Amino acid sequence: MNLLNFLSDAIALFFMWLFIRAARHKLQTDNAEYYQQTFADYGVTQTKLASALRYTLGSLELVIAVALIFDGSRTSASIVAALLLSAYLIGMTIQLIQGKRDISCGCSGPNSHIKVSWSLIIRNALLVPLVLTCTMPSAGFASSLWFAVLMTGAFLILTYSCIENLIANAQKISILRTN
Amino acid sequence: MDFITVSNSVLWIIVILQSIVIFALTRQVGVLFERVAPAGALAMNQTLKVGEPAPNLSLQTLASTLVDVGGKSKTNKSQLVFFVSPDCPVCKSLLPALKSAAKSESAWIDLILASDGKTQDHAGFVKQYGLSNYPYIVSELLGKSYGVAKLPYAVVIDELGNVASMGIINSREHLDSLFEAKERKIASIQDFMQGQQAEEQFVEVK
Repeated sequence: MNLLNFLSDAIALFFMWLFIRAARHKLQTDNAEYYQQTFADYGVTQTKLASALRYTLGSLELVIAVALIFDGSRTSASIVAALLLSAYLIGMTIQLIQGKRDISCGCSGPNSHIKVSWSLIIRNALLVPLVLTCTMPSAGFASSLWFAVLMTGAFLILTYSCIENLIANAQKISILRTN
Repeated sequence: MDFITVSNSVLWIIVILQSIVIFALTRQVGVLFERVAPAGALAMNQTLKVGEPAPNLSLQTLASTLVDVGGKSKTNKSQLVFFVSPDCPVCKSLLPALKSAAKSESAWIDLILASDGKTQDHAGFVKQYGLSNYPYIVSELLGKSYGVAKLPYAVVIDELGNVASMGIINSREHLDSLFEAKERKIASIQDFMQGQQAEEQFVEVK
C-alpha cells in the first residue's frame, strides 16, 4: 500500500458523492424544466432530446458513482468519469468563447445559481486529473485505514462545497460591482 | 492505541470541524446576498410626494447668483437638491461621495446644495470642502418648503419639475438609490423591494 492507493480510495469516495449528487439533480422530475432550459442554452433545443439527455447523463453519473467504489470497476469508471467531466468542460468553454456568460452551468441543480465562468472551467480542469487518480488500485479499505479514508473523503467534499460557494459568491459580487 | 493514532484521529476531527465551519461561512455569505436587500434612502417627508410638482423657488446662492429650484428645467436636466449643514458630521463625510456622484451624473443632473442658518458660517464650509463649483443656497424657506426635518437629505427633481425621489442620505449607496428610483420611475428603493417581495409571494401562492 502506498499513498496513491490510499488517495485512490479517498478520491473515489469524493467522486461517488459528487456523481450521486449530480445524478440526483438530473433525475429529479421537479428539475426537468430547469435542465430543459439549461440544455437549450447549450444548444439542445428539442424538448424530447433534452429529456433523453437528462436521463442518460443522470443514469451514467449514477453508474459511475457506484462503479467507482468497487476495486474491479474503478479504473474504467474513473476513465469514463474523466471523459464526462472533459465533455462538460468543453461544453462550458464553447459557451464562454461564444460570449454566453449569462447561462446556468447546470452543475449543481437549480438552486445553485452558478453561471458559466472561467473559474468553473479551472475547477473542472482540476477535477479531470483528480478523478484519474482513481485508476490506481484500492488500498483495500483495511480497518486501520477506513477512518483516514473517510476523513480525507469528507475533507475533499467540504473543500469542494466551499469552492462552489465561493464561486457563486464571487459571481454575485461581480454583479453588484457592475451595477 | 498508541499516541500517534490518537493524535492523528484528533487532528482529523479538527480538520473536518474547521472545514465545516468554513463551509458554513461561505454558505452564510451567499445567504446574506439573497436576504440583504440593497439599502435605499429612507423616503420620509410630510410635505412632498413623489410624482407631484416640487415647490418652485428662485433663490440667491452664496455667490450672489439666482438659482431656480424646481419648475420645468430650461436645460432639460434634473436637479439634485442636497440639504447639508456645517454642523452635521455625516454631511461632511458624504461630501466627497456627493461630489463624485455629481460629477459622474453631470450629464443629466445638476447638484444644488442647500442649508440654513447664518451665511458667514457657510462661507468657510464651502471653502474648506471645495464646494464653490456648485450653487449653495442658504435659505430656511427652501428647507421648510421641501419638508426637510433631518439631515443629510436629498430631493431629486426631474426635468419637468416633479419630485422624482427623495430621502435621508447616509451613504453613497443611499444617494445612488435616489438615481435608481428616478430611473425605474418608483418612489423609493424600499417600494421597489416591497413590490418584488409581493410578486414573489404571489408566485409562491400560485
